[in-house]
Amino acid sequence: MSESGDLRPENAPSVENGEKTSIVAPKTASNGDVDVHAKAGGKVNENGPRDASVADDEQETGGLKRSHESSAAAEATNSRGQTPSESAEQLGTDNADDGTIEGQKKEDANEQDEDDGDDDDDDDEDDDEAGPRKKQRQERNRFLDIEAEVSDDDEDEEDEEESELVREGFITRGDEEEEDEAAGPERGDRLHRQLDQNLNKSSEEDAQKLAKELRERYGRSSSKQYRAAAQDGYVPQRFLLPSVDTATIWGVRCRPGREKDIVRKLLKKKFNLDKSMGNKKLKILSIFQRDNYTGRIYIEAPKQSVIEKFTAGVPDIYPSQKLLIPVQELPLLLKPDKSDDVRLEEGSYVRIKRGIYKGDLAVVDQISENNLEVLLKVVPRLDYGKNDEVDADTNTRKQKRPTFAQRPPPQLFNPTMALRMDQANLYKRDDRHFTYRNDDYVDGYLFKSFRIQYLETKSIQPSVEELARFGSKEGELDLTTISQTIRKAQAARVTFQIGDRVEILGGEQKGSKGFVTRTSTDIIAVNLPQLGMKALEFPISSLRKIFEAGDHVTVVGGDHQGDAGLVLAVKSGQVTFVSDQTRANLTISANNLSKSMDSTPTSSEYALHDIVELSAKNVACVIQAGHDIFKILDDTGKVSTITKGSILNKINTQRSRLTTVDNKGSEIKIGDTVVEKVGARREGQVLYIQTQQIFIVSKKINDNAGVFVVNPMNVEAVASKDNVIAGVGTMDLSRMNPDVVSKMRPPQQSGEQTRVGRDVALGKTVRVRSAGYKGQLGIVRDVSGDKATIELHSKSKHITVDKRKLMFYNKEGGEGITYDDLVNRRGRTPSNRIGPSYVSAPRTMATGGAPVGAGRPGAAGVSGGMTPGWNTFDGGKTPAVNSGGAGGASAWGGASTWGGQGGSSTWGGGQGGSGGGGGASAWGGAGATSTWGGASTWGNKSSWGGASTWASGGENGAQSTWGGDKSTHGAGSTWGGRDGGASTWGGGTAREGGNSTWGKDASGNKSAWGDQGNASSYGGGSTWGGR
Amino acid sequence: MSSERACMLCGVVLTTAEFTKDGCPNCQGIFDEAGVSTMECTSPSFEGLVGMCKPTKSWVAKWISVDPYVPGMYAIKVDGRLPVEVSDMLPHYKPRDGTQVD
Repeated sequence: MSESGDLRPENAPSVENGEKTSIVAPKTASNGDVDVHAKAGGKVNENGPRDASVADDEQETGGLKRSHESSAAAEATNSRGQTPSESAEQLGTDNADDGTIEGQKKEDANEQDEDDGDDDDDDDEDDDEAGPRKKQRQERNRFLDIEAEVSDDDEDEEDEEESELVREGFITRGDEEEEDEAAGPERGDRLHRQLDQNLNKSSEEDAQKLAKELRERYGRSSSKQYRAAAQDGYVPQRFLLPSVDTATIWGVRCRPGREKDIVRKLLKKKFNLDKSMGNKKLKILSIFQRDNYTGRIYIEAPKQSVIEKFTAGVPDIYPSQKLLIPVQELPLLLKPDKSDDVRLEEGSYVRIKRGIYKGDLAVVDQISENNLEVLLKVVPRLDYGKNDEVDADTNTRKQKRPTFAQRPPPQLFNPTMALRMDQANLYKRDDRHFTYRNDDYVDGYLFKSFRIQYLETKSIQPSVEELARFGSKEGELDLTTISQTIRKAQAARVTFQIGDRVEILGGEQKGSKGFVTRTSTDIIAVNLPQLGMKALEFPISSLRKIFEAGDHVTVVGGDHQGDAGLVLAVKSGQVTFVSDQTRANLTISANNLSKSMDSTPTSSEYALHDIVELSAKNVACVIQAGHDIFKILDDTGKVSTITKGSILNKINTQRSRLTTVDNKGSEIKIGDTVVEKVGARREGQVLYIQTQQIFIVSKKINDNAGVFVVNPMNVEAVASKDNVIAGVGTMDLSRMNPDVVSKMRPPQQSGEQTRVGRDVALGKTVRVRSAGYKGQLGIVRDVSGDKATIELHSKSKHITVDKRKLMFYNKEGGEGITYDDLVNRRGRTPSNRIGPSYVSAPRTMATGGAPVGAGRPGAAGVSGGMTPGWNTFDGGKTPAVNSGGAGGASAWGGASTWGGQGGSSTWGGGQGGSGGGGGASAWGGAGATSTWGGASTWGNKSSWGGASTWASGGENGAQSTWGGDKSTHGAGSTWGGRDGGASTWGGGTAREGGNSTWGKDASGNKSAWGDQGNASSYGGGSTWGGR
Repeated sequence: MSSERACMLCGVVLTTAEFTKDGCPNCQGIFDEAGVSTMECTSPSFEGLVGMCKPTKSWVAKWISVDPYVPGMYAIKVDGRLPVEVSDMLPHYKPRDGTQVD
C-alpha cells in the first residue's frame, strides 16, 4: 500500500492497480462532489451496506490506502479506523489547488440549497462550525471542515492525527520517488496512468449514475419516509390558515380561456429566468388558476412589483389589473372541490358529452374503483348494420362507425333485429343479456363504461320524455323519482334577489313576511321587520316570493320563461298575470317570477318587424313578438299567431337586394318610403319586397304594428333611401325654393326635375352619341345632375358624359330613345316586343300590297310615331298624342304608320273584303294584332270619349265628330261602313271644315279607304300626313 | 394537452409519456414499493393548475401539501382514488379529489 502510494503521490485519483478502482474516491477527489456524496452516504442508512460492500471489495483486492481513505470519506464508516474528515484532509493536502475545490464546494452548496436567500446564512453557519478546526490546522484546506461535519467524534480526531503523521511521511517519500524515477519507467507509467484515468472516469460515471438512482429511488420517497413525514409533519389545515405575512396572492386578469396556458407559460418562464439570472431570482413562489374563476390567474409573490417584471412580455395577461386576494378568501380559492360539483353516485343522472350519445341522458350503474370510469345505462342508438358498407366482391361488410350527425334514434336494443340484420356480431348471454358488437345490452339498455371527464354531471334536468324511455320497459314510470329529480332541479334554479319580498313557509317563523338581505346558493338571509331583530337565515325551499296585484313580473323559470306581465291575482303561491305579449292569463308559481321594470321581454331570435320565412314560399312579418309565440302578417295580408317552431328562419333584409317598380316605373328598394296611390294613401317604409307584394311599415298606423301589405303597382316611391343622400351635393337649391321656382317658370314645366327618386337613366343601357366614344355601348352607373357616368361594355372604363347625349336602349336592344323621351316614358325603354308588331305590319301590307308602310319603316318604328306610343301604353293613347306634343299634323303624320300598319286593309277588311263586319274589332284584329288590342277600346265609345282630347290635338277636325258623335263613331261599322268614310266621319261632324279636308283627301280615296286594296293609296300617307 | 395526467398522491401534472417513462418524480418509490403501475395512480381528470416555483417557501404549496416535492406543475383537485395497495401503505394519505374536508 504504501509503496504504491509513494509512486504517484500527487495523482490522487489514480490508483496503482488499475483494474480495481474505488467507486467513490475518485469522485470525491476530482469532482469536489464530496459534499453531496458524503451526505448521501451518511444520511441514508440503506446506502450503507451497499457502499460498504464496495469498499470491502477494494480491500480484498488490495486497494491502496488512499482508496480506502477516500471511500471511507464517503461512507463515513468508523470501523476502519479512519474518519471522513481525515481522508478528506488528505485529499485536500494532496490536491494542489485548494481554492478550486473550495469554489466547487460553494457551488454545491448553492445548488443544494434552492433558496438563494438562505445562502449567506448557510455559509455563515458553515463558517461558524468550521471555526475551531481552522484554527487547529490552518495550513490545510477548509474543505476538510465540511467533511468533518459528518462525524465529530473525538476518537476520530485522534485517529486523524495519527494517520496524518503517517501520511505526511508518505508524501515526502512519494515526492522523492517521483523525482527519482521520473526519467526511467516514465513511458510505461504514463500508459498505466492513462488507463487508470480512463477506467476511473467510466467508473466515476457509473458511480454517479448509481448514486443518483439510489437517491431517486430511496432518497426521497419511500413509503416509510412518507409515513414518517405524514405522521410528524401532518398538520391539520386549520393550522395552516394563511396570515398576511405568510401568503400574499395576487389575482391578475388575463384573457378568459387562456388561464392554463398562461400558467404553463409563466412556470416555464420562471424556470428559464432562474437559470439565467443566477442569484437575482424573482420572488415568485407559485402561479395558479381555478376553473371556476375565469379570466384570472393567481400569483403568489411577496412583492407586487415583481409581478409586473415577471409577466412583462407574456401575451394575454394584464398585470395592470391585479388585486391582492384577502387572506380569508384564500382557503376557499384553493379548495379542492368546486362548490357546484356533484358527487356521482349510483342511480344519478348524467349526460354524455361526446360520441354518438352526445347529449343523451344516462343513469349511473356502477362507479369504477378509481372513480375515473362510470358504467352507464344508456338507451342505445343502433342501426344494426344498416349503414355498413358491403363489399360486393368479397361479400364482407365493413362496419361504418355512426357519427353524431347521422346517428340512429334512441331505441331499446332489439335482439330480433340484431339477429336478422347482423347475426355475426350477436352473442346471447342469457334471456335478457346480449353482447352485440362488443357492447353489453341488458333488458334492452346499453351498459357501457365512460370516462368521467366525458360526462356532464352538473344540473342535469331530465325531460319527462327521456325519463319515460328509461322507465318504459317495466311499463311503470317511476314518478316519484322523476318528480324528485325535477323538483330538485327546479329548486336549484330558484333565484332570490336582495330586496325580494318573501314569505316563510315553514318553521317557527311560518307565515311571517320579510325581505331578502343576503343570498347564496341555498341559504337566504331574510329580515323580518315585525320581529325587529337581525336577519335570519332560511333554506331556499322554505321561502316563497310575495307579489301583489299590479306588480309587473317577469317569468324567470319554466316553460314561460321570458314572458312578462301584470299581476292580476295571487292565490296560495300561484300568481296569475296577464301576459304583455299574448294578452293571455297565465298562472305560475311565485318562485318562478321576479319583479321587473321592463315590459318587453322578447325572444332573442325574432323581434318585432322582422321578416321571417315560414316555408320556402311564404314569408311574413312579425307584428308581435313574444317568447315563444309570435303574431305575424303574411304576404296575403292575413294575421295569424304561430309558435317559434314554425318559423324557419329570419330573413336578413339588410342584405337583400330585391327591388321592384312602382306604378310609375321607379325602382323601389327596401327602406324606401312609398305612398299608396289608391285607397287610404298610407305612407310608410318598405320592409320587404316580394314579387307581388311589398311589406310596408308605417308609424302612423296602429293596426298590426303599422305593417301592411300592398301590391307595388299601387304605390309610388316618394323618397329613395339612397338618392336622398347621394343627391345632396348636386341639388339645385333654387329649384327647391318654391318662390324662386314659381317666378322662374311654371312648375309643371320642370316635370323631370320634380321627380323624386332615382334618375331614370340609372342602370340603363346606352349608346354614346357624342364625340370621343361615339357609338360605344355602356351602362349608366351613376347620374349626377346632367352628367351620367357610363361603364363601357367595350373596355373596363367609366366615362362621364352629358346624359342628353346618350341613346337609351332596352337591354335586349331594340330602338334607342333620347333622355327626354326616356323621361317621358317614365324610364321605360322601347320594348323589343314592339318589333314584331311592326314586322307583322309589313306582312299584312304585303298581302294588301301596301308598299308604303314598308317603304317607311323608320316612320313606322321610331319613337316619333304615335302608334308605338299607343302600343306601349294601351291605356294612354290620348295622353300619348298629347305628350307627343306635335299634336295635329305630325302626329297624324304618324298616321302613315297607321296606314302602314295596314290599318287600312283591316279597315277595308272590315268593310268589304273580309266581310268581318268591320267592327272595331276587325280593326284591332287586322292591325298590330296584339297591340291593337287597343282597337277594342276603339270599339268602345267611352274610350273614344277620349277622342275629345284627340280633337284637342287640334286641327284634326271636329271634336264633335269624334268625341261627340260617339254613336256614329262607336258604331265602328259606320266607320268601317263603306258608305262614305269621309261622309261618315264628316257626317258625324257638325263642322264640315276639318272633315272636308279629310274628306277631301279621302274623297279621292274614299273608295280606297273602303277598299282594302287601295290601302296603298290611303297609305299614301302623304295625303294623310300631308294634311 | 389532453394526454396530461396528474398523480393522485402528490398532484404533480405531467404528460402521460413522462409518467410512463420516468414515473412520478415524487412518489415513484412508493408506487414501486406497493407494486402498482404509475398509470393506476395517475388521473387524466384534474382541475386547478398550479405552477409551483418554490415549494419550500410557498404557502400555496403548504396548503395543498406539495411542499416537500419538486418544483413543477401541480393540480389542486385530482379526481380518482388511489389503488388500495398504495392507500393501505399510507395511513395519513389525504385524497386530492375533494372528498375529505377538514
